[in-house]
Amino acid sequence: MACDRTLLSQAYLDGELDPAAALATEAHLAECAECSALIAANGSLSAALRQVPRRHAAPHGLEARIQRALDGVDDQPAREHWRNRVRRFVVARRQWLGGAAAGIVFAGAVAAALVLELSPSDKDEVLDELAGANTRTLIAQHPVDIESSDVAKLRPWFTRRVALAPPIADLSAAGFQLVGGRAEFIDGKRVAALIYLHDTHYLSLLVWSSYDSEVEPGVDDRDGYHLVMWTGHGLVFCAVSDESVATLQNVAKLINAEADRAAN
Amino acid sequence: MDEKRKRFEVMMLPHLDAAYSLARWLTRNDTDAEDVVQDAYLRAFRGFDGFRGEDARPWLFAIVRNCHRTRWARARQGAEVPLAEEHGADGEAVSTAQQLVAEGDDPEAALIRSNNAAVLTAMLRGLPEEFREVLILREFEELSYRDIATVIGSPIGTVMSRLARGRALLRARWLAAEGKADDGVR
Repeated sequence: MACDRTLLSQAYLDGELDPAAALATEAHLAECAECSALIAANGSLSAALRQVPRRHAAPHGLEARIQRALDGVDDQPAREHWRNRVRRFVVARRQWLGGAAAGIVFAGAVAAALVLELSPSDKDEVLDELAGANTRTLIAQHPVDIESSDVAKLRPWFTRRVALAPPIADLSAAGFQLVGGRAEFIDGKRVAALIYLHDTHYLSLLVWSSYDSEVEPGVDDRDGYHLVMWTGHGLVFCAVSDESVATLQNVAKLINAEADRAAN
Repeated sequence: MDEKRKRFEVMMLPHLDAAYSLARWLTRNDTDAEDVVQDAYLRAFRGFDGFRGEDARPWLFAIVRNCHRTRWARARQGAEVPLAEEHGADGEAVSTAQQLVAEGDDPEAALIRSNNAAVLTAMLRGLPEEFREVLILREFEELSYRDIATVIGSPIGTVMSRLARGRALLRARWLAAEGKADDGVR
């Protein structure tokens, strides 16, 4: 395969390109025999696939079977299970930090926490990616996809782009100006990024669904940034910045307050 | 019925056909597909507190896929290579094509038969799972690259390259079957 733009051409066929990139690709297709042949071949493949019945209808009775199974779901054991894990986590964290101080800061958040076990290497990769999100804030020409501090604008934008409604806290009293939002994709999950500016320091607040998340609440350091992670309201939060851990923990408290307020 | 259950049913049950369909393409049989979907709805309900979005289908699909893989891993404990090429199923695809062609009595009919949906279905079923799943999600469920990435838990670049390879593989097999059709009738 000689052309290095075949994936772009495919994305064009799949309607995944924005208008500017689509125009550029059309120009490329006019010149590149390989890509235009590929588009034609994939186009007729798609047409042929349209003859295949796309959906198998769910059999009669499956819905009733699921309803019965749901009737049997008892949330109690699950809650007990998580309570035990949280207890184990808090104990482990206290030992790890050699004191209860940091544990207490997070006790509120941890009460509703999902603590998932995970191998160190996976966790390392995810933490690297999270820290990378703040690096992107610093080096990107446009640190935000949507520049606004207006909740009424940001909320529907996040819902559309990352299928999440992160709590959007006004931290201006603490000196943090909300610059805007960005969509991130980390560890196979859609992540909402809220970008705050504090003096000359950027703070990225990353928020994603706790479903299947592998991140544990706690504190970490990557690439010269501090990461403070916590969970609550079915979400995982990670604040990343080069400011002190105490500053980040204070931000965490303010955001939790906003999340609690939004939930009530 | 409590509030959570009601909300869950309103958001998730409309996608039952889609979920079953995906499970059917992944498991390639009815019984396993039903079990996977039931597992998936139970897991989805337990994890529903974590669902914040409007876009239920990719979220549910990701769970269906995980349930399928968990069951599959359990069923094949000790087997070495996951996602290996499924030779048996592939052989089945080719033989179906040959069989259909053999039944044709004139070249045109043979060609139409070799083109038909049954052959393509069999070929899709015979694709390795990593390609089959992205093709189903794209061509049949018409999910965006981003949503497919969510479902399979991989970066968009992986989605793009798997789609490209899956399509190339399917085209090659399709052409091969057509070539055999031509040879058979001449």
